[in-house]
Amino acid sequence: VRACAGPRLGASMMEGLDDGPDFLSEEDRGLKAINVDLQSDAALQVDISDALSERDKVKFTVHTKSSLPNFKQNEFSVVRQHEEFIWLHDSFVENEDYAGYIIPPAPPRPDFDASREKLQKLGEGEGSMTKEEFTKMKQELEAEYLAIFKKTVAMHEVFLCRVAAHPILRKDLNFHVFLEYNQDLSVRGKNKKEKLEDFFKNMVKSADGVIVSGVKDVDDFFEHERTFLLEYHNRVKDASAKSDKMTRSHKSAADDYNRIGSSLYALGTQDSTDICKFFLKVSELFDKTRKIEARVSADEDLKLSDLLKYYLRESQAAKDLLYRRSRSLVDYENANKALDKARAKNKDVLQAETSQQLCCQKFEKISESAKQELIDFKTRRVAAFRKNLVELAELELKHAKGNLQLLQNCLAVLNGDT
Amino acid sequence: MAAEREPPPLGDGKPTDFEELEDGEDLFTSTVSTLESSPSSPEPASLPAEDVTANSNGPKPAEVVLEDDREDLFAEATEEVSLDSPEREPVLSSEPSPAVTPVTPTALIAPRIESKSMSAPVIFDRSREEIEEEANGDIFDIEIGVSDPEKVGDGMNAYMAYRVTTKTSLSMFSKSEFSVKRRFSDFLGLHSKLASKYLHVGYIVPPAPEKSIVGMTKVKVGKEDSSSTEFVEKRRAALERYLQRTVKHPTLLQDPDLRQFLESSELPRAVNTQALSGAGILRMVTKAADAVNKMTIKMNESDAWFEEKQQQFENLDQQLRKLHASVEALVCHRKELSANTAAFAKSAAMLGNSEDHTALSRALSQLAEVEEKIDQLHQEQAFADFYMFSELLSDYIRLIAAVKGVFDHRMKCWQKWEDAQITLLKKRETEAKMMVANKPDKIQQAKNEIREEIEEWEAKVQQGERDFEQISKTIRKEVGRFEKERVKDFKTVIIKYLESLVQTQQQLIKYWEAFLPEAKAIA
Repeated sequence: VRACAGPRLGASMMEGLDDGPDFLSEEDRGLKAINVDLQSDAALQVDISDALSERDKVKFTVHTKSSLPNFKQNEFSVVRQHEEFIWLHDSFVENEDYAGYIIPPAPPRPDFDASREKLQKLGEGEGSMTKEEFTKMKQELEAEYLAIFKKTVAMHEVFLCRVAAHPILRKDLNFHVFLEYNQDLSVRGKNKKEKLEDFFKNMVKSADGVIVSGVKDVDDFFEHERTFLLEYHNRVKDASAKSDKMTRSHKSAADDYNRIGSSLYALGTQDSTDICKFFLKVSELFDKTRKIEARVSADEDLKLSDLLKYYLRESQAAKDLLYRRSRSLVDYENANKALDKARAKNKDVLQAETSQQLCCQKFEKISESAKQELIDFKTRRVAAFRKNLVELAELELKHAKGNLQLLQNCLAVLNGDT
Repeated sequence: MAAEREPPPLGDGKPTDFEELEDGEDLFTSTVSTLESSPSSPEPASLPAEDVTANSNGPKPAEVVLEDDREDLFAEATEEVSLDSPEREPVLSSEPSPAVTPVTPTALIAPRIESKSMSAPVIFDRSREEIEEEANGDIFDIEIGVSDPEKVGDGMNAYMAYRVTTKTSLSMFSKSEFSVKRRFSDFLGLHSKLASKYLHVGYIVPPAPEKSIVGMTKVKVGKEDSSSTEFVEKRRAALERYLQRTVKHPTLLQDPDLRQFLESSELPRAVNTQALSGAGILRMVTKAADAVNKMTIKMNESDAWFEEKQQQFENLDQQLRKLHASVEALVCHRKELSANTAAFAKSAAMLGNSEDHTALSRALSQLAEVEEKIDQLHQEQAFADFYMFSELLSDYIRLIAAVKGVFDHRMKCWQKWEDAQITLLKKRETEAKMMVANKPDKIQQAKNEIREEIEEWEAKVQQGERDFEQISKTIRKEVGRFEKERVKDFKTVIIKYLESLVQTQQQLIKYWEAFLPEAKAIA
């Protein structure tokens, strides 16, 4: 799986973008690592090679390299939007044949609203701050925008990579159309009626879920998985929310450093005593340390918050799988009962037998693939956590050491002067 | 300036000594004037003469005796006088001899005063020398600590008593280490006394910490929560800084009220410091009146230095306020971060518990522990953010208000002088009119009266001019000292603050280094 070549932002955003390749590669490494078992597979490689952010939508360039005979060419690209990803995901979910698999969770909708609002507010408030402050804040907000942008690109890419790595899903026809058809797929977003239907479906599902989960599973493996997943999902949800809050506080504190640096700079340039040099040096320190603190916050966001968010969605997908299996079990049991009744009355027995056999097959098929899916899920999860926690610790260390160096250098200069 | 001069040599009767004195031996002149002036009578003027004669046989031996008993003599004298009339305004003059005047025959006294004046500065310089030397060497050999806050009493009459410990090698104190118990209103009382004596003649008297009715009520009511302990700690630290700043001021250090505050085991209750007392309300009204007056005084500034400095302080004030706001925001966010980190730590521990892969489960628990430690770190850093950085800034914002106050006093002084000149002019005009009018008998009395009045006002004009010059001189010196202190203060505190940041990073490194192998051990 290739790294992102470099997402493009709309022209107005490009000025003053701060961070270079270093930032990009770390992030890419991190996001890819959410699903570690995506081994390079010559048969089918998918990535998002480019992206363009326009007023209200993002256009992703989906790039495919494949040696499979299904495709007309070996290498090609198409442009897709978020709605088309959702269409693809939903088509998997609605496909009965895939009932026994964990469907890779859909990427979240790109949300630049908050960031855009901030940039707009900044533009309006331009008159009330000094030129340096304005430039600084603009850079900050643009970096934020860029970070959100890169994240959304990565989320969409991870989804495609998961599908491409899955032995069954990668053969899906819709998937191939998605990858290859170079016209607009014309998938309109769901209209109100369809959204309402979805809503009811989900309600029924969760109500069902309650009923179905009341039934104790004969199979120990699935019983354990169910208990585990229910609890795990809730705790991941909580951890994800708290991690988010923590990273955001961290960012606020980093932003304060920015303002402190500006104030110290103003003091340094206006003071009449020999303390000006001192203030200017400390101002510089705050500017630099702020950059590091912002990176710490961003890395924590990536390695921790994003990891937890992703596994929140995956554990939900795993829960959905269990639900589907339980449903099919209930259907199987009902078919058994119907067969017994038919035999007792000696009426429509053949029909009942066929029906029962179908249900049985369906249930066994789902159970078998579900078992494997859940084992794979665990392997993926453990590997992803390991990689991210290791990288988190390494990055924290790197930044702390960087900070320490900065501070010690500054202190040496200040102490030398006085 | 004073700090850099050597003390005048002993026994040298040359005029040069007087010049040096005139240049503003602040310490000397202020104490001498407390000796020499008193609203009541000519007596104080003879007081020094009395003491001299009492302890000696004549002028010559007086000198000698003075040297031997110097500290005691003057210490006694100043204490006596200050106890007599604590609220009196000291009249400063640049010439010691004239200050002794109106009543005693100058000719007789002058030589003795001369010699006394000569030796006296030496006396004061002795202890002042110590202070000045140390001030130059950046180490003041007096250390004040405020500690052990203790609640005394119950209910709404309860108060916090603080232990004030002084460690010093200065000879003006009777011991080298001693401590007393003081309450908050005692500190306010001290400041009030110092302010009334020194502020209006141009000394920058460090402001006392602010009152807080809400904060104190919580403590009185007995709420033992973290916000009231924080409040007490904040106050304790502020009181300590207040005293340390006050003793750093060479003139204030000599003040007997300050010494009494530091040394005496019993201190008369300062009742006029309560916020809602009669005196408190009077203060508020006076402040408001002053503010209005300030706006209406149109001073002809002949000295650009003052205008420049005022502008500079105005700018500095604005900048400091802005910086202070940012630092306060940082403190707030750091506290938030600490709370959120703690919440995350708990959540991660729960997640670790439900994780069914053993190695991952253990790593998650370790992560939770690390985050818990980091939360502690954030809390400590927030403390440092506040107590070092934020409080430094708020102290200086209040100090600058005191500086501005001193500039305002100078304006008022000028106004007084100006008013005296105007009145004198009017009186002279009246006299002139009288001269022209042709009513011999009755008018003689009126002429005498007006003559007297004119003389009175001439003296007042002279005094006004002298006062104005003195306050201007004092302010220049004070501002110089203040700026030096400010630079030192900021540098010291900010460096300390940066060192706290260094410590935090070092701890972070330790924690993450310990965690890394745990994460790698996930298999």
